[in-house]
Amino acid sequence: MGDSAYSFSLTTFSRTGKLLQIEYALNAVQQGKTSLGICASNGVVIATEKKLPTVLIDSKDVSKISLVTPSSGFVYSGLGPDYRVLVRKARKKAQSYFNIYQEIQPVGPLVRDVAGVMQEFTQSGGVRPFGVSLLVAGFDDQGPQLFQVDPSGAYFGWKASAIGKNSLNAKSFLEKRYSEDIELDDAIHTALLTMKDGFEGEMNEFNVELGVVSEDRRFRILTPAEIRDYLDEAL
Amino acid sequence: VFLVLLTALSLSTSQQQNPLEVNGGSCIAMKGKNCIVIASDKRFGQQNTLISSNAKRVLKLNSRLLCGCTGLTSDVQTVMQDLSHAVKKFKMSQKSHLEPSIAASILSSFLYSKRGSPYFCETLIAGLDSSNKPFLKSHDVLGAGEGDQNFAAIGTSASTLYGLCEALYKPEMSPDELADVVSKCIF
Repeated sequence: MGDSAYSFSLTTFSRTGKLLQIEYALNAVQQGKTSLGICASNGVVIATEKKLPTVLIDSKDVSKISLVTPSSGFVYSGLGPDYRVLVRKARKKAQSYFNIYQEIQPVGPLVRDVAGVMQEFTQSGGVRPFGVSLLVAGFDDQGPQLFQVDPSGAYFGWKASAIGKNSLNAKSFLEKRYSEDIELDDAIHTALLTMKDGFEGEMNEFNVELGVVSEDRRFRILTPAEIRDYLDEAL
Repeated sequence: VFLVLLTALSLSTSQQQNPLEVNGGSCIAMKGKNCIVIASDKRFGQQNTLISSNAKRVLKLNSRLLCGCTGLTSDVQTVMQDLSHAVKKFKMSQKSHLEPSIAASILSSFLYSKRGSPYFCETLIAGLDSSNKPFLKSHDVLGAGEGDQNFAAIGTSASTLYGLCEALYKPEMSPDELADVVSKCIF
């Protein structure tokens, strides 16, 4: 990886024992648009702002939420292009898994694979860490799961979490509204309310994206019409 | 020394050896009502010479999953070790129960990865899945699987065993009936 002139790792320890490149990568994530996820008792929902800088941008083909296996999807906060690389690698790894085991890669192993890739980029020559944190939502034999993966490669399982610009407020909002037995439809409403709380300007079905996986184990990105319905119910 | 001489003699006087028949051995498995039975012979020979009557041909992957392998003994041993290794790795990285279909897929892709220079080993995976339904799948040397069979036989007397299975098999047999039928077949 990288030029022969850069066969050393650019991510090196500071005197205080920190990897500053990773700290800076986390700063990049903090600057990114808010994303959040809620793990309900019968499914998982992930959501993100899709605010485009100008009306001239054609938003039809822009998708921040991505399907990675039939049962799981990603969303991110941070640098979009870095995210696309991760999605591509994760999809390939999931497909290799399927080639051997003939079953859909479960969420845990998938998260570990992605986290492994992100860690590689903190310890390889000539590369920098990814400037994204991921939220991974999936449903497998262990039930519905939500994971966060950071630029360092550290991953955490969450019942509900938020990343990006408004993550602190969003997390305290979620803490108040989360309950262990929350159902998926409630979780979707809560997700939308949480997004609205920190949204600058008017939130509608075109500037948010929602991804959902329920007991049917099929991860789907909701259409604007479906988001409209949920928004009407929630607000 | 005498044994080695004898084996050398028997080898030099034989023609092209089929690697699947040099060491001998057969294995049979059958599905019953929420149960499976797997049986194998214990002969390990070199052509006509008997070397041991205690060959291990059935590998226990876990309390609900068994794998029978026949063929060239060195390949049988390697496949059993490597499958056991892959299954342990799987168990460590995933908390979920190992389904027989997963074990069969692991075995299949493992055998096919040696497409250019195959393991001379036919295999049989028999077990119960998480809903207690019996699972049975046999593979050829390249990992091609025969799915969802009611009974399967591999090894040197496979054709004879299949004949007996066809005659004696009944669907949904209890564990005792099944053991009875399979022991009739293998004897």
